[in-house]
Amino acid sequence: MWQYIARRIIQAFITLLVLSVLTFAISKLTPGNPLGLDDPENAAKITPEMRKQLLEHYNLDKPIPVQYVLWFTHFIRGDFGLSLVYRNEHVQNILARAWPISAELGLTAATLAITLGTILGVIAAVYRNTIVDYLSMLIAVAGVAIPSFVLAIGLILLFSLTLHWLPVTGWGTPDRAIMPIFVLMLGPLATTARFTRASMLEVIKQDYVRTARAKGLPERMVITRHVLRNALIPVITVAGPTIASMVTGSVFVEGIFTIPGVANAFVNAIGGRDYPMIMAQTIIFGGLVILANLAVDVLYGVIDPRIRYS
Amino acid sequence: MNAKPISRRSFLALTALTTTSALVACTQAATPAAPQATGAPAAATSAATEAPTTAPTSAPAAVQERVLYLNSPAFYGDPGGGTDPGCSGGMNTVFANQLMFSALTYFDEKMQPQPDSAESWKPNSDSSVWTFTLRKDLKWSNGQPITAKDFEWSIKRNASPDISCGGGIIYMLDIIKGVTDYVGKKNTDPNSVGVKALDDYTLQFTLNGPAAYFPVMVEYPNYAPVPQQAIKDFGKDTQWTQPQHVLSNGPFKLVEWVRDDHMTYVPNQYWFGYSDKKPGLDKIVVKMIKNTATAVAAYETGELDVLEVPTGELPRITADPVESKQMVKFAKLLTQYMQIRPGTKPFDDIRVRNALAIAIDRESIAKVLNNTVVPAYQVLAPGMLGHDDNLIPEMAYSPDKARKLLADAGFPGGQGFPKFWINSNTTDDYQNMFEAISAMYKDVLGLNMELALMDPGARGAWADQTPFRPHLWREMWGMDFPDSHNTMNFMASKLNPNTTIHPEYNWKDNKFGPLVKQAAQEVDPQKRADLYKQADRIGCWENPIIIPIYYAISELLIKPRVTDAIINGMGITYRNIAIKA
Repeated sequence: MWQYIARRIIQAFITLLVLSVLTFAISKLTPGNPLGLDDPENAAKITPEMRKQLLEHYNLDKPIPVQYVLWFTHFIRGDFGLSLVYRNEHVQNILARAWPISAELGLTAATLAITLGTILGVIAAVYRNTIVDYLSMLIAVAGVAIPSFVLAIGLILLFSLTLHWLPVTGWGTPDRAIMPIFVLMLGPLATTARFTRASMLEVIKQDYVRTARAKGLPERMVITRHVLRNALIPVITVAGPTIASMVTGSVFVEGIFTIPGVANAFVNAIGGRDYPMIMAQTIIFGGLVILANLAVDVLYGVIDPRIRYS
Repeated sequence: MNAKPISRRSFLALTALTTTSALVACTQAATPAAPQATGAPAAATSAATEAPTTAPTSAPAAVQERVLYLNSPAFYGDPGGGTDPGCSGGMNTVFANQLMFSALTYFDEKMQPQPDSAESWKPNSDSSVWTFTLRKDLKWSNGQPITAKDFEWSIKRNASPDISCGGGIIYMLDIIKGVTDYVGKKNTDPNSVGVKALDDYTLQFTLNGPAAYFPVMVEYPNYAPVPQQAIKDFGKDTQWTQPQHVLSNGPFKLVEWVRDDHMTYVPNQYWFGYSDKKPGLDKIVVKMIKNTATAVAAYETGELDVLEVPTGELPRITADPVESKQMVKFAKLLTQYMQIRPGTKPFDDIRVRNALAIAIDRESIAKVLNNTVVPAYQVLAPGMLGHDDNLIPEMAYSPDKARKLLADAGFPGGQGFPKFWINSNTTDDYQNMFEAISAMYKDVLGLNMELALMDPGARGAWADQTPFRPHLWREMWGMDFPDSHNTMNFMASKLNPNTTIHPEYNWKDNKFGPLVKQAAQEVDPQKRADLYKQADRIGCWENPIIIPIYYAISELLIKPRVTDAIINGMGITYRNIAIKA
């Protein structure tokens, strides 16, 4: 088990190294210059001397492989480099500011989505082909089908512009968190519910469930102890990457509700050719996804004792 | 069957818990709150998770507090430009700088320079040396006095090569003698810069040459004092611009800055205008809403008091009985045009350039853009010296003349004309406008103009690659100060292959440069206007480098409770702003 985890972690580092080389190459190959140097409206404002100084200051005058090595040696020491959009600020400081906000939003939404989604799926499976099932699945289908931008605008129209209950913008108070969390949560909730239901229905037909019932276990025990646990494997498979993607922030939700999180910073970075920021965020996103998948694989073994790693 | 149900269940719960906290810890570990604190992810976790909740977002519950809510999307991601007058550039940063800093002059509604930090000013005989007398009651926001020496130090600092925005934004300062060499490190002696405090209240500028318009330039935030001690103590990483360190001398002071979220300003009791007129509000909150739909919703819920109207929303707002009354329109000093490449065939033929200029029905373009623009037939904006509605009568839309010019140039009905394209960044407005222009070229001249609309970062890079070099290039010029010199000096820079980014435009004209130079040094306004008219006719018609399209109009929504905004072609000035109780 531990050997397995160690091997996976070593693999993860190799993956991240490859990821960093590819991202660096692609972002350098993308046409465009940072610092607004190619903006013709800046033509009169940026003199050749200034241009030279700026490029030197940010190491952009060196060959690309040298730039990569410089970036890498700083990165592994925890210095992610100077941001090209947020001038004179180190990327790690910007991320330290933006990440907690996205993580708070994402973790809240992910926890709610997975908990409520599982409950909804279990209810739908237990009361399958009844009105309860249909209602639960209606919510689930709607959650998958309604695009988040429609949902967000609809919520703003209803709760902000018509009812005047909730503010549209900002972050930091509970009333500002309700709409973004709801928008972020609904899709994953729906997916979780549908996976849980399908998986539950699969397991309910198994022989050991019939055996459990036959030996006289109460239905509640059968469902929680025998059906749900076995049904959770596909759900957990989905949950890992879902959590990883949710804590890395949603470009759309952060944009429309004006939340100063990491996704907003990432969009800004791409537009401004902020290479150090793009690199740092890609590596962190990648690392999180790898970590989530590893956690999922380890959890399989816990939920289903038949799965063993060696 | 269930040998150890409890231990496994608790292990499950424990694993879930640790995974979650590991995720959080991982986000922290990767992004240490304190630099190089990678060894203590656990400590960082608790500190960082509290951070968002401590952000005190101006609760509307506060009793009778008069708060003005503004929006500045450009501040999103801006670390210092909004606060450091030395890094000021563009309307968005200028407006924020002016909340905090008083430069030497400010503009009234008619864009005339009025005394701000300076009481009075006078030039020498040829307007190349200017002497400003400062007010005696200038103070920092902590009550300490400000003298001419602070101004001298600040302007030299703003012109120095090593200021925080990297090399300094010097295009408003390089009119001063010695600045170009100083910022280019050819002369490292700060005393070579032509600004000097003659005594505590007298500041003298020595310019490169005569400049009658200099009092108009010293309105710019680059000419405001900056706190010397704070910059020396906290200058690294722009820390001095943080609310706890920054001192300012303007109508408001910065008290709170939640990065990428909002900034809060309160009236500065030590500003010289504070006692003349009691401040008309208690607080200004500048939000950073980038999404235009969100900004409109925020205005409608009262989360914003002033909003720049997005073009797409204009028809709805104009039709809205309430909001249409809150709309203020003013002409911005901004000209939109297409730049041509006179060095490339067939655009080297003036007849071709003229044909392209008069095949555009600018009235229709204005309609396409919901009348948010005014047709432009020259580069100088209305109200500026040298603007004249009849300067280039030939520029009027005339399909027949356009066809004839093109035929004379050897392309009757557009036959034989090579493929060409316009390069622009993508917005809905530009897309609509260039589709319309392309259709006009097709209908009138039989030409196919392709659209190369792309992301602004990519745009410049593509223009540098030979096969993709655009034939026409969309560009606009928003004036930095309301004097024709600003526009014409920029146009003249297109003659110089070293200062333009894309030298391949290769525009050659023997008269344009000298005319602009002569106009800059001319003191008599009538003569200056004549010189600018001659130059404008050359640049747009006689040997054109650009095809003017429109002047921009700004539409603002302002809540009726907001009063005393100074609105002119440069935008809104908030120095006297008030809110009705």
